[in-house]
Amino acid sequence: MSDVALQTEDLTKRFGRRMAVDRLTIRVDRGDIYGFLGPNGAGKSTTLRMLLGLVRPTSGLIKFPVQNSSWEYLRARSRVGAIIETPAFYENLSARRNLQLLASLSGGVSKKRVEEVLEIVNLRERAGDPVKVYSYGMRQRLGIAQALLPTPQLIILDEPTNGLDPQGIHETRKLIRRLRHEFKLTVLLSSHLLTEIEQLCNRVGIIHEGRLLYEGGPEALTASTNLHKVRVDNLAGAFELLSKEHGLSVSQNGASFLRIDADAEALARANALLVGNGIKVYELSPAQESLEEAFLRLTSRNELN
Amino acid sequence: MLTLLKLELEKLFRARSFYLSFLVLIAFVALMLWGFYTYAARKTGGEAVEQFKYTYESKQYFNGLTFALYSLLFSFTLLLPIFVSMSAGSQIAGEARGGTLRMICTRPISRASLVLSKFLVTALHAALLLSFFIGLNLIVGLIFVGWGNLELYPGPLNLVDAPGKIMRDDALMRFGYSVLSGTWALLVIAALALLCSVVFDSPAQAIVMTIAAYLTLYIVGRVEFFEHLRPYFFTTDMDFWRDVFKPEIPWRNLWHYACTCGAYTTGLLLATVVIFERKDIVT
Amino acid sequence: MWVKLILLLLFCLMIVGAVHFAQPSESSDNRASSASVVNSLRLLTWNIGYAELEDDTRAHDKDLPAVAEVILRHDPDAVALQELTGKAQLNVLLGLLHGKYRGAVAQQGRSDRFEAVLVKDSRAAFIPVPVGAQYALAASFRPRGNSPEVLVLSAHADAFNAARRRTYTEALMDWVERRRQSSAVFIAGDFNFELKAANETNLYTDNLKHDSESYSHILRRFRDLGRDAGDTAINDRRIDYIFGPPELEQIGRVEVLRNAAVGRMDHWPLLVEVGLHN
Ligand SMILES: Nc1ncnc2c1ncn2[C@@H]1O[C@H](COP(=O)(O)OP(=O)(O)OP(=O)(O)O)[C@@H](O)[C@H]1O
Ligand SMILES: [Mg+2]
Repeated sequence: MSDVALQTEDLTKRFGRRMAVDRLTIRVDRGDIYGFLGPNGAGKSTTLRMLLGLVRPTSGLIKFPVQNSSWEYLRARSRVGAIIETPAFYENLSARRNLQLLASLSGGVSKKRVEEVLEIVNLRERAGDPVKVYSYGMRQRLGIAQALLPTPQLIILDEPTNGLDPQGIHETRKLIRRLRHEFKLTVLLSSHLLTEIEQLCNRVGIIHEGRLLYEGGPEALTASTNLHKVRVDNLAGAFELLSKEHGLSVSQNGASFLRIDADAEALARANALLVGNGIKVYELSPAQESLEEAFLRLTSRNELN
Repeated sequence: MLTLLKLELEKLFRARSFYLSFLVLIAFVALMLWGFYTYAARKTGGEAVEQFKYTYESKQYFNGLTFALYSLLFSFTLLLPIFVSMSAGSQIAGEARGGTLRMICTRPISRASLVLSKFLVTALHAALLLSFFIGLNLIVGLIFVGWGNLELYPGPLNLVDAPGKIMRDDALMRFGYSVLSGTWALLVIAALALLCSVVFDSPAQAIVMTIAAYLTLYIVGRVEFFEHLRPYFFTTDMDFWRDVFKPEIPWRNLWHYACTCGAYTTGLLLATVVIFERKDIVT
Repeated sequence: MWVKLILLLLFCLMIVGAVHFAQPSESSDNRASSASVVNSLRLLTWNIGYAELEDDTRAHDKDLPAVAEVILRHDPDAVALQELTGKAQLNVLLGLLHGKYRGAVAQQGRSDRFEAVLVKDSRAAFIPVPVGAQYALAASFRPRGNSPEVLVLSAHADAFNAARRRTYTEALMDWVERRRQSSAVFIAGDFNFELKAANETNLYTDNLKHDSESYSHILRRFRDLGRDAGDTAINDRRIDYIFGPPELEQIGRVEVLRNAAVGRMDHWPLLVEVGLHN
């Protein structure tokens, strides 16, 4: 059943001497919501731009399922919708007219489709207004609307929730899930937020400094979060005590708490140990792993494998 | 390609700058007319204004057609090239700046046809500007100055060595020709501006570079020190468009320079296409 | 792809067109003098008057030795001079030329200055040329015994009014018209034509129109022999001319003698050498 929607092989982009994307090989299967995760400057946008033909790869291959020549590449791309960064429109024209113009360039997109996508992103009522009066969230939704125009099989979204308020973020995520379920779309989205990826995606690729560190299910990101944070009255004493203990590892980062990597059993033992030695435990809670920590963890695991 | 062209046309007709360019031309003609009258009045102590308004039989040599010719020649050295480079220079750089370029380029269209349709629209704009300007000048010349044969004298126009004359109807036809030859000459500037528009990401930069290149060559071409370099400047070749106003049109010469200009235009366009196809769109 | 192909095709087409329509470059030696030229005729014209800032802008007696020296050095067959004060001045000059030349001044007309013609040939005949209220002067002679008759005119047109220059030119051409059949006519002199657009700042003056009409009126019958020799007077002006028959073969020498002017003269002599058929 796993049918490839998009694949890259050793995709590389160099801007002058700077390596923006380095031998990137990813695979997006049909029906996936693929999360492309990386910190700022990791090369996410550059990769997505290459997929869309905006940036010329220095080397490497991009494969949509049917494609042998550049002409077929164009055709394959005609069934791909995309938003790169903030969507931009002709400010003086109405949203509807903008969509109509873009539709005419997409090849074989009917007038009716414009109304359909306006309906999907809930902009039907304001479609007659010129884009210059649109709010940021409306633009973002209009961006998704234009991405849906060619009835795509694959939709590529570059940081779709960037710059939105919590309400907007929530709605966008809801919309993405709906696209997946209702329209059977494959979604490739990039983000620098771990939580976003966790909530939305069934597959993740992690990129850092242009290199792919990990590709696989999102469980890997959460599975081993045995990380906990402990707040006590005597930080130094607690550290000394716990470092001698087997089955757990402790680190002291931050001035006010310790981090322990321990499973449930070890955690209980540690708690007992601290209390037994007269150290007051104010808080013992699962810690949120930072993206960098996830990177570190995932890279070290990759190296082990 | 056709849809692209339609789209570019719509953008052109929707842009405020499009109409602005025509307004400026009207203002320029008004300025010419004002200058013409005040100059005439000053030179003749106020009597000549009536004299300049004259009829077909009049022996006066300065008439509406001459006025139109002066106006055209003066505007062609600066005003029209500026408009054309503004129109062409903002084409791609403007969309890159606005971000709409990446919206268009993610669509399944070839970049070459995008460049070509943008060029064609610019060419249309140039042709419209020129025919509007010539028409306006002729009408203004007819109403405010008078009608007659186009008499040519050696002078600032630098068209003839000996006095010559083009009969009225023939002269009107020549103005018609000049729309074609003038547009053809302006296309070189349009192609240059389009190239700059692809190379630079800011429209202002593209426009300024084009105008700077044009003016530099134009002025340098008129300085005697550089006389031996003159034949290598495209501005020299562009001058061919005025040949249609010579009493005997030097056809062979005209075709030669028209082809040279055409070679510049297509060569620049080709370069534009090749560069644009390789360009990374990162705005 | 096809866009690039079409552009490339057009580009090649344009190049081919440009080459195809290129002017055949004029080969410089297709005007080489032909073997049938037997005699050469050397002519000199010179307005020996002074620039406008002087009290008397006519020729000054003290310059005559210098004028004579130029004439003797270049040895023209005929000399056309302008702005002499009169017969007396001419006689002084003829004396300085050691009797090698004969000469005459034009009749007194409206003006206080006189044209003169000097000819080496002792059998020359001097003919007054009435042009409006003025007179120019012509000399007819045969430079080499059996050669055809040559007529040399010395002319001086109004300095200030282009319309007057035009009437003058027209009258002159009318007079000349009948003589062109029988002799080789050369018109030499100071016409004061202002034909350079760059010198004309006044857009609405008729000067340029009149002058270019006058000039082209002459060119319909004559050839401007000094055309490529450069300016003949200060302020970048080429106002002294020698016009000759159009069928003439021109031999080597056409020269403006820039070092010749002395005192406050504002003109330089123009020297022309042409070939005459037998
Ligand atoms: N036009 C360019 N010229 C030179 N370097 C560039 C260019 N565009 C991007 N880069 C570099 O390539 C790297 C990757 O940039 P990219 O925009 O792909 O990052 P990103 O992952 O999208 O980051 P962000 O989360 O900030 O959007 C960065 O180091 C950036 O500086
Ligand atoms: Mg980015």
